[in-house]
Amino acid sequence: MNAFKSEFRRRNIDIVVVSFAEPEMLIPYVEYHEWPFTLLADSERKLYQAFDLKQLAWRKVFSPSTLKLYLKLFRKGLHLEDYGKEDIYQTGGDFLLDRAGNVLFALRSEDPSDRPSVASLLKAFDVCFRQPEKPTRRQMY
Amino acid sequence: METIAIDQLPLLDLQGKPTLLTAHFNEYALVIFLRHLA
Repeated sequence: MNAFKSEFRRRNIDIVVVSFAEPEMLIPYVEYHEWPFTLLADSERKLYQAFDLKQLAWRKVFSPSTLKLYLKLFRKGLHLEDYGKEDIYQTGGDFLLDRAGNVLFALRSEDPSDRPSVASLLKAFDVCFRQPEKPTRRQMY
Repeated sequence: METIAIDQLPLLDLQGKPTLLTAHFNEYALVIFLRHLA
């Protein structure tokens, strides 16, 4: 994500990360990961609800694709930290918004491994704002 | 187009102070809702 930060900046897109954990749980998380993004807490999950992010069924949380993702992350060196009580059933999502709250792109995760690529997010944004092409002389009547 | 009343849904910053999502972006935002901390 860091590598693409300039691409987001070029499009006037700021990145904001929201977690349902309590703020005091997030401070060591931010320090550990050294994230350059704004991280906010939605402990009461009002925003999660407003964005229709639901609880996943057990079979979705432990689906083969989720296990495959975590196996891949462990191979890359991920080790789990203890951030206290967690809700592994809460689903997440990725949204592109404007200031009026209009949703330009939405992905509500079907399981924990269901995440959009950065390239697909940038492409979705560009499609929203693509100017209609001017007709060429041949297309004019 | 789906619209969410983001200016009416307070969040907390890392100091525990109430804040709105709109205070943290200028024109557009990519909002990433975390699944769980890992």
